[in-house]
Amino acid sequence: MSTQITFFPVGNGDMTLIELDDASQTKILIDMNIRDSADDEANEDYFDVASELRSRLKNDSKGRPYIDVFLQTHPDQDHVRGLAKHFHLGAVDDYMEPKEGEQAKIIIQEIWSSQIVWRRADRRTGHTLCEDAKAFNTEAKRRVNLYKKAKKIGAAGDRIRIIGKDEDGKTDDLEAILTEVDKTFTKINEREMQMVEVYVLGPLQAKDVEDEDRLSKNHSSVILQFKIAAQPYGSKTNIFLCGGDAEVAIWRELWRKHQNAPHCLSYDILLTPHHCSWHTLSEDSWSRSKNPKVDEDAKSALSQAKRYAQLIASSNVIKDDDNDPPCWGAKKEYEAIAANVSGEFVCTGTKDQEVIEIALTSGGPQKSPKRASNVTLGAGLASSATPKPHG
Amino acid sequence: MGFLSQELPIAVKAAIDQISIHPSVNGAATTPCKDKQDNWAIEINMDVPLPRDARDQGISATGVKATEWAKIVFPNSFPAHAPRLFLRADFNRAHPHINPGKPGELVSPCIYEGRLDDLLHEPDWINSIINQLADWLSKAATGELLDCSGQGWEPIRRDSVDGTIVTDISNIRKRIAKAKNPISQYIRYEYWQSVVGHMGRVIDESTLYSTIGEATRHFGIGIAERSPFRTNFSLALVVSSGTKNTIDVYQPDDVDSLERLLARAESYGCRSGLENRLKEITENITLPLIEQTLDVTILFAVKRPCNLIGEDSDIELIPYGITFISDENRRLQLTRTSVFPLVLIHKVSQQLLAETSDRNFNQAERRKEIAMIGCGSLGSKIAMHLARSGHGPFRLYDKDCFSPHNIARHAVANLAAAEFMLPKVWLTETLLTQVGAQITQVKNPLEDVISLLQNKPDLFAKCNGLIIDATASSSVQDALCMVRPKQFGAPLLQVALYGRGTIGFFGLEGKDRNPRVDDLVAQLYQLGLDSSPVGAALYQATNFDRINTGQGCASFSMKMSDAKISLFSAGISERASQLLDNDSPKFGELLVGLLTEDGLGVNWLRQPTTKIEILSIGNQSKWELRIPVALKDQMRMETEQRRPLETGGVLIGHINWGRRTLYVTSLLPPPTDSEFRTDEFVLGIQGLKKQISTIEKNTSHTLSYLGTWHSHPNGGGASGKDRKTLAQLTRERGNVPSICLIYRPEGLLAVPGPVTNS
Repeated sequence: MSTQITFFPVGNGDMTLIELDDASQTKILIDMNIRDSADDEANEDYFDVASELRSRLKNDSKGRPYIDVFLQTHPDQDHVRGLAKHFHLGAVDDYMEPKEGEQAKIIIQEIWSSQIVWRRADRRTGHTLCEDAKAFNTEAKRRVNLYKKAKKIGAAGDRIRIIGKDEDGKTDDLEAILTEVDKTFTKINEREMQMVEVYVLGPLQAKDVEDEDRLSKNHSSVILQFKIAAQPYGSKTNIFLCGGDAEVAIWRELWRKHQNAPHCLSYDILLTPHHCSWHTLSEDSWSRSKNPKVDEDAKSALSQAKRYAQLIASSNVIKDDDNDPPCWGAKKEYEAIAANVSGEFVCTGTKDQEVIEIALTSGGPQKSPKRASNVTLGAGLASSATPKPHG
Repeated sequence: MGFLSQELPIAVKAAIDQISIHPSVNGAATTPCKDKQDNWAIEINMDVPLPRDARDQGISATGVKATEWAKIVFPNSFPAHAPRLFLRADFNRAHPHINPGKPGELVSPCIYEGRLDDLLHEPDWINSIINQLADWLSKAATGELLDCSGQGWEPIRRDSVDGTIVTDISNIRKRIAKAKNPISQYIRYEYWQSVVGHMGRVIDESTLYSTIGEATRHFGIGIAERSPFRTNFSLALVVSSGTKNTIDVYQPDDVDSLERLLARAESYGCRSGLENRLKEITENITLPLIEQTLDVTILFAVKRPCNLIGEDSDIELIPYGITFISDENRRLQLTRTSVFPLVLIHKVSQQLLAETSDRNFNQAERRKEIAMIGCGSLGSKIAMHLARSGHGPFRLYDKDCFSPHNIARHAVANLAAAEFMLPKVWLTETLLTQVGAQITQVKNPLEDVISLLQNKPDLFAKCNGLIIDATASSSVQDALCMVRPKQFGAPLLQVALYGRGTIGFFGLEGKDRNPRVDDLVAQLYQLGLDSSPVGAALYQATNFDRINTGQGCASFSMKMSDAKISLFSAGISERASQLLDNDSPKFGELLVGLLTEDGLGVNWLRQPTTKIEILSIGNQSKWELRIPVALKDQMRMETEQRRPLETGGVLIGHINWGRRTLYVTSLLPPPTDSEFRTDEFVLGIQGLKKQISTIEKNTSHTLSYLGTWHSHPNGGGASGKDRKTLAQLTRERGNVPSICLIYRPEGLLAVPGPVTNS
């Protein structure tokens, strides 16, 4: 197995897996959107991401599938859907062996999540948490409370890392499991990593912006910059930037904050925020505004692409219409950013849904070789579509 | 060529059409044409995704270009055989997964772990090969083919080399692992020249010689042995710079001369060791003839920075052969040599067998000994199955000789042995050693195990795996039942076939021999009464047939085919293998196999087994009563139902006269005219006679009326009435032992008194 990053085709939603070629073959899952029919064989409309994910996971010593880390960028359904169905929630001791015909639930050894993002999401008007988000919240609270009680970092399955300091001292007693904004960490699932460095760009805190209320009205997300080496002891030649659904105000603030040190925002691979939404780049509405303007600061924040960078949109197929997200106008902007560095803009939503896999090598990211699909694929269906009279 | 058409064969054309539209192929570089060997070939350009840093130069740090030329050669036998793939001659040969070849030749990548011919027959057809090539090139571009952290060190590939050396690799590694400093030592070696090439084996890995004198003493170098292969005795040299010296440079295999071999030795840090030894060989060895060849094998043992792929050692063994040709003085010279690579192949070992058989091989538990009592057709097959999956060592017992009719179904196939009527033990031992099993030598293996046990009851104390009784002999069973639990080092498993191979019995004893095999056999008898298919096989078919083995002489054995025995022995062996690899169940295991009607398979039914309660009965002549706890539970339930009245019934079971043992196998409910009172239970007789005679008839008198049981719901000892009843039973039944059993909440009690009237 080599170090690689995989973007699963999940429509307008995010689901990204980072796999490290270290001794423990560490797996970091960023968000998930496992729609119901994705694990329903009878309905093949959706790509079966659950099986694709499972095929990449390893089992722990008791034969249970697990991921090292689940990063939850923000509590929208398209970033957490399928959690309760496919993942074990609660103490590992309560793990239930799968019943006949069921799939084993996946254990999350460590959670990364941000309280501040959750609180802001709560405050947003008209926003209600979906069932999976509620389940996640319960699980995150369980882990935080375990830490508060024991005052030490829990065992695998009880671990949590809080991203971003909350206001009013709400995270004050959580030092050991808290990573503040603008800090770098290298410990993943309680293992000190030589091959990964994670820099926390967001969620922005109230002190960073003039107007906390305004921030709350925008989608807030955990924003991380990963620097990843191909091998346990190599230089970190691959930079991945992901920012959930963070919107224009956030990116503008990030640019203002980091414009003198733009390397904080640089990337080889960018998961374009909010499924290629126009609102990442502009205050104006794509469909209602006659001449929607790009916010140059926000765009600058997302333009720190390195040579041959790849910009990934995790969304449905992007069409030239009024839809948003994904938005045709945003795609054009990202394509321009890519063109500047001879890079490429790619969307997970294509005709033949396939995962996008990028190897993270010591010489930087490397695309997968193109493979031919099955010779007879589709032939049977096509030839049985119409009656064939014989004389 | 002449009359042959220059047109592309249809299959080749179809393949080329498919290749040309493959998404990684950016066009055919040439039109298909025939090469010198008359094979159709096509040249294509493959797109290779390069990592970011290499894209500006268009070539990766490992020398792979963004567009790579490849030549695809279709053999005449295509599509039965896969096409061969070649890359440009100056492709970097330092990549692993490249077939050996000479500089200047096209490079042949090894793109697939299995056989390309088989890959071609996957549903993706030719695409699967091109997909594989695309993957291979992509990995080569980042140097990922050699991946230390995930997979391990890729050993030098020798798949297509025409010469082999078979040795116990782990044994040599073990020795090298101890050697910190450079070593170069001899091992005795033997080879023959087959049509494909040099075929050699190390004679004894455990003896390394540090001088050539020792290595060749009593060992005729270059002398052909009188074996069917005419093998030659020779030497192998283990050369290493020691484990202090880690060699982490991957080198392509380009050794084809002594000069390059020495250069290779230099890069492994052991050139001088090799040179000295080669000098020693040329100075000390004289061959019997002039112009005679002698192959000497060099085994470089190289310490790598990580374990080899799929192995638990970081020591790579790299073998080469050197062919010497003797000069006019019959002596060897370094100038008259050629060098060739060899493929290293594992000798048969328990580990190899276990891994091939998909068993988890546990080093610590690998010496679980199996005692095989009875090496007949069933026993020999089970032993063979177990040996082949890496179990053992074995100790074998059988007093019989192998006679011609045994050829029909014994695992041993040897006409001469049958005609000389050699002992089955000898033949089975030879058979097992032929698959690499170890045999523990036992005293008097040909003697009857019954008399062996009489003299030495702890015969199996040291056997720590499984004691298997496959004799189908009740007297052997009795003898084994006499052994005290502590005198067995492992659980006893009895296996047998009944009813011309329609029923199989698999009885494994529980902890402390409870239940014991005779209890399980008694349970089988009861099952034969309850289940008609089992009963039919057990009681109605002739137990043994007369097989005419000569004029006026016969062997008594069951008639059944070899294949039928194998149906049962396969399942039994598989289960025995699991038992050897895991813990045995506490209360033993009883499996009854039923041959399906169409003879295609066996359904094994698992019978619940329980602990056995043992009571001593009778006063002068002691008998033992054995009753399953399950039946005691049944008595308890019936007692509770009738409380406060007494209740009872009839005990059905089996009598073993020789061992003076009674086995209770079931309870009959009280006849309808029975009387239940608080102080008395009267066992009625309504219909009882008929019931008993049916049982006796259906089981050929194997099961019968043993006595009575009744309850004392409030406890207490045997009453005067109870004693009288026992005395009456004993009178009525003469020499047949009788029992009156009392169920009380505090436990079972046998009414005291004589149980027979003798």
